[in-house]
Amino acid sequence: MNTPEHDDWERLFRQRLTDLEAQPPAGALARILAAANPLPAPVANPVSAARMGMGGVAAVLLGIWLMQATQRPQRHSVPDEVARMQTQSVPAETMQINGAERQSTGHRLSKRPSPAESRQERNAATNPVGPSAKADKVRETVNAPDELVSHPESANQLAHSNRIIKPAPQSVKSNRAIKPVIASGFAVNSTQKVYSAVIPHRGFLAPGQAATQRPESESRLNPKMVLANVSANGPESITSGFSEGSARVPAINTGTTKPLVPDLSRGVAIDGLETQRTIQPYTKRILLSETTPETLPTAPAVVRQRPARAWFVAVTPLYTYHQLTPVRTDERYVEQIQTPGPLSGGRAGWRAQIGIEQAINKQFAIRAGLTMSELRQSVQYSSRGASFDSARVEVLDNQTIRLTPLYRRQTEQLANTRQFVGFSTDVIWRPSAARPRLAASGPNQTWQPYLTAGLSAGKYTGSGGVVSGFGQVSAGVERAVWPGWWLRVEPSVQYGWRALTDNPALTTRPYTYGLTIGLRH
Amino acid sequence: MTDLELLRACQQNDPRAQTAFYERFRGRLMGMCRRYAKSRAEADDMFQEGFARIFQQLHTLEQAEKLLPWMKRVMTNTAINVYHKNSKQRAETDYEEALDHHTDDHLAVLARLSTDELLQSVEALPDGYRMVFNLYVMEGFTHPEIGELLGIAEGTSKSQLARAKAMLKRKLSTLGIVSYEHT
Repeated sequence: MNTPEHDDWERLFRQRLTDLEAQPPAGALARILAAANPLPAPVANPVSAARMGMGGVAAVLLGIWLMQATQRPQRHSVPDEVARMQTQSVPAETMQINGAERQSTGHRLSKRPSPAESRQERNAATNPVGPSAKADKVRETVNAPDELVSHPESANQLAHSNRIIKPAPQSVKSNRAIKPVIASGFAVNSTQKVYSAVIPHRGFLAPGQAATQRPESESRLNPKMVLANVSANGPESITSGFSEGSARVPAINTGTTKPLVPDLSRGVAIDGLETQRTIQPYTKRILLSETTPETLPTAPAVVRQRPARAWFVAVTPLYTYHQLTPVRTDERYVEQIQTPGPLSGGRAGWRAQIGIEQAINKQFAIRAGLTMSELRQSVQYSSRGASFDSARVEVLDNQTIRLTPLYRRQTEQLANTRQFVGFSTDVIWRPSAARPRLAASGPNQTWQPYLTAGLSAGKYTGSGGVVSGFGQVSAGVERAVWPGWWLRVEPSVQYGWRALTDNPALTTRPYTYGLTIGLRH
Repeated sequence: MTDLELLRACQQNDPRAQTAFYERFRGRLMGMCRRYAKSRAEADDMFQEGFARIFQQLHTLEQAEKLLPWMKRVMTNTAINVYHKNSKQRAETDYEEALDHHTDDHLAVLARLSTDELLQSVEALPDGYRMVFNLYVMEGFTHPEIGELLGIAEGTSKSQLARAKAMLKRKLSTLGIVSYEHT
C-alpha cells in the first residue's frame, strides 16, 4: 500500500540512485571485449552445407552429362560424313554417270586448272564460236540424255554442275540465243569444263567492265557468275549482282545478254532446263559434290526455329532444406535440433512459374515471370534455461558432496508450410547454339542443353509478409515436341538469400532442389 | 560522435567504437550494478557480464534513442540471472525480524546521507529484498512483472518490498541518529 510518504521516500531514493555512476574495475574493457568477440554462429546441422554443395556439384555434373549426351550424335568429321553418305543407295541416274563422275572428281580434286587451262580446253572443245553453235551444243546435251553415258565429258560436266538437268518437254529452238549457263560457278555449257567452277572468283565485275577488260571466255570463268537463263523472250540485259549461294546474279557480259532466273538457289525451272538441287555455297560444295542429289539429306519440311520471344510455363516438384541457426538469447539454450530425413515427405513442395522469354542473341536469352512456391519445414528441438532449475546433491563421504545441476528441457515441434510469391528473372545460355551442325542432323531433333542463373524476389505469404528471395541455377535440356512447342526438363537449385526469423528460437534459411518440367511456346 | 553513429560502428565490431562506447556508458551501468549487487566484487562481475552481452546483442538494436533503456534492461536481466544463480545456492533466510516501523525522520535522513551510505544500505539488504526493491522502486516494474521475472508470487513480491523498505528505514534510522543530533 503506497502512501504519500512512501511515494516521497521512493522518489528520493530514485533521485539519488537512478543516475548513480560508479567506476568499473580496471581492465574490465579488455575482458568485456574478449567475451564479446563474435563467435562463429553454430550451425544446427553441419551436414546441410556439405549437402548443399554436393547438390550443386551434382547439378553441374548432370548438366555436363546432358550436354555431352545430346551432342554425341553430331560428332562426325567431314570425311566420316562423306563416307556415310557414299554408302547410301545411289539412284540409277547417278549410276549411269558414275564413272565419269569419279573421273571428274578426281581430276578436280587433284588438279585445279588455272583459268588459262580452262580457257584452252574450252576453246579446243568448241570449234564453232557463236550463238548458234553454242545453242546446238546445248541442245545436244539437253535433248539427248542417252548420250550422257556415251559421252563422259558431257556427263562429267553435269555431274560437276551438281545439278540434274532433264530434257525439256519441248526442244530448244535453234534460233534462240542460248548462252552458257553457270550456276554458282558451275558451268553447264556443253563446251566448258566444269572444273572451272571451283576457280576462286576474281572479284566482281561491274556491268560493262567485263566486256571491256576481259574477253568473253574469261568472264565466264568467274565462279561468282551465273549464266542462268536460256530464254525465248528475246534479248535483255543482265544488270543484277550475284553472290555465291544467293539469288543475286552479277552482271556478265556475254555479248548478247539474257535475263536471269529470279532465284536459282530455290531450284527454278530454266526454260526447258529444270534444276532440282539447291545451289550451295562453297563451304558445303566440297561435301555435297561428292554425291548425287538424291543421296543428300534433305532438311525437314518444317524447320522449327526458336522465336525471339516466347512464353513459358513450368512446374517443379522440389525438396526443401533449411539452414538452421539458434537465436542467441540470455535465458534460453536451443539444442538437440532434429530435422526429417533427406527424402522425407515433410520436405516435399512445389513451384510454379509462368512468364515470357526474350532472346538476346543466338546463345543468350532472358526469361522473366511470376513464380509461386510452397516450402515445407519440419523441425524438432529442445530448449532449456541458462541456469539450472534444480540440483541433485549426493553425499560421497563425510567431507565430499557431489552437486549435479538439473535442467528442465522443453521440446518444441515446428511444422511450417510457407508460400512464396514473387518475380523471377533468369539468364539462359545455350552453348550448343553456337556450334555448327552438320546437315545430317536436323536443327531441333535432339535435346539441346542450356544453363540458367537468376534471382527471385517476392514475399512469404505465411510468415508475416516477409520480403525475401532466392538465387537459382539450373542445367536443363529442351527439344521441340510439336510445332512451336518446346519441352524442358531442368534440374534446379535455389538458395534463399534472407533468413527467416519468425521463430523465436531459430532462424531458418531455405534452399531447395527440384526438377522443373515446362513448356515453351 | 552521436549515439547513432557509435551504435552503427559498434554493430560492425569496430574496436575503437567499442572502446568509446564503453567509456561513454560505463559509469552509469556500473552504478546499476552497484545497486543490484550485494558487494563490489559481485558488481564487477555483473558489470562485465552485462556489458559483454550488450556488445554481443547490439546488432539487434535498430533505434539509437532506445539505446540507454535497452542497455539498462540488459543489465537488469543480467542482475536477475545472477540473482537466480545465487538463489539456488543460498539457504533460505528468515528475515522476519525486519520490523515495519518507521518514523517521520526518514525522509530527512535520506536526503542527508551520502550516496555511498545509501548504496551500503541497499547492499545490506537480502538478495530477494534488494532485487524487488530495485525492480519496483528504481526500474518501475509492477509486482506481477517482478513475480514473473523472479519466478515468485505477486504477494511475495509485495511482502519482500515492504520488508526491504522496513529494513532500509531501520538502517537509515540508525544512520540518522548519527547525523541527527537534534538539540
